[in-house]
Amino acid sequence: MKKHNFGMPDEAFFEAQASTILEKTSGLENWKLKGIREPQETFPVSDSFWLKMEDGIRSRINPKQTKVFQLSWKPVFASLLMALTIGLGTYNFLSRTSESEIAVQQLEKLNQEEILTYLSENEENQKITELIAAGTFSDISVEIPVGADSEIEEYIDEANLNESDLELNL
Amino acid sequence: MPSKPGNDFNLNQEDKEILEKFKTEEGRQMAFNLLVRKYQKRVYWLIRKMVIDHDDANDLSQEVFVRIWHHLNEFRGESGLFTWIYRVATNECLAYLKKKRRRFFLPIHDLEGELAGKIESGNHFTGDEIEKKLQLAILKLPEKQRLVFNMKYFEEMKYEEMSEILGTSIGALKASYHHAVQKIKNSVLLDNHQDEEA
Repeated sequence: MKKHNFGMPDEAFFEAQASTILEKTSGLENWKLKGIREPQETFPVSDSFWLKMEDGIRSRINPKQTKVFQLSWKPVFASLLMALTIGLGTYNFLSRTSESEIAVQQLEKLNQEEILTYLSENEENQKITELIAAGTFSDISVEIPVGADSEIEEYIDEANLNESDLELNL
Repeated sequence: MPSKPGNDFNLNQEDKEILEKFKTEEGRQMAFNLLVRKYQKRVYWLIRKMVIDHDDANDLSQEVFVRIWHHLNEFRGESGLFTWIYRVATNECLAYLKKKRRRFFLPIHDLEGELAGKIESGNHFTGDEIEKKLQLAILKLPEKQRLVFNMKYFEEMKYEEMSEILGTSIGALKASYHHAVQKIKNSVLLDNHQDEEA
């Protein structure tokens, strides 16, 4: 063992030192603050809590009570809304198609002459109706070619105008 | 009040029976119910002292038992059943606090502040002034040291068992506990001194 030049403390010193260390550590080891209760008494918990906790655990581990699909109302509502929109759109499209198909079928039954007559009549009627709706009857007279009175009467008849209309506008 | 966990360091007869029943298909649920009834309070109080909030402690305790349900078959009986359960609970608890701090981008002192606020609000803690001072002083400790302090101070757990649970040497645990006590003594004394001055 290496020799030291320092004066060696006697045995009593080391005993006293060991005792101080032990005292300090055991002091820390057994240290308790006075008047401290168990946390069970200072952290409040309701009496029924333990049973609720048991139920909570059971429902989380028991496959019979576990929901396979966790439904939440928001995505369900969004899906229903989307399905409804798509359904209505499809119905609308299909019904329009069927209406136009019926019209095509009806037109196909007509011959060329009937179609031309229908179109020419409707073109004139349409013109008169539009003019009555938009302005005065005097505009109509401008549009109607000047000629025979019978022609004018014929227009009036076809346009289904009554006398009061004529009085107001003429 | 639950008995101190230090007494069932080795696998006792009751735990053996629970484990045997748990291995059978028909006895599994019943064995688990027994296990929950036996250990739920100790697990809850361990967690509650760490997270302070009752709802958080409830959620975490349930999570611990769900984990136990899934992994109990992996338990080899090398330690006491409660030691193993406590290990699951401490890991869950430390992971929760770590996640919580990360989630809210809170540095350590802010999480402490949040927990201290819960104690001071009086909704989560009904202790008197000195008990409040002690709890606030405990909150200032690092989380693992807090666990060590709670286990030793309140549950009077043996260092050997704590060592198994926390995976730390007995010497390190003793040092950790002594440091914790010293810090708490200083903190409580400082508080008292400040109170006197005020």
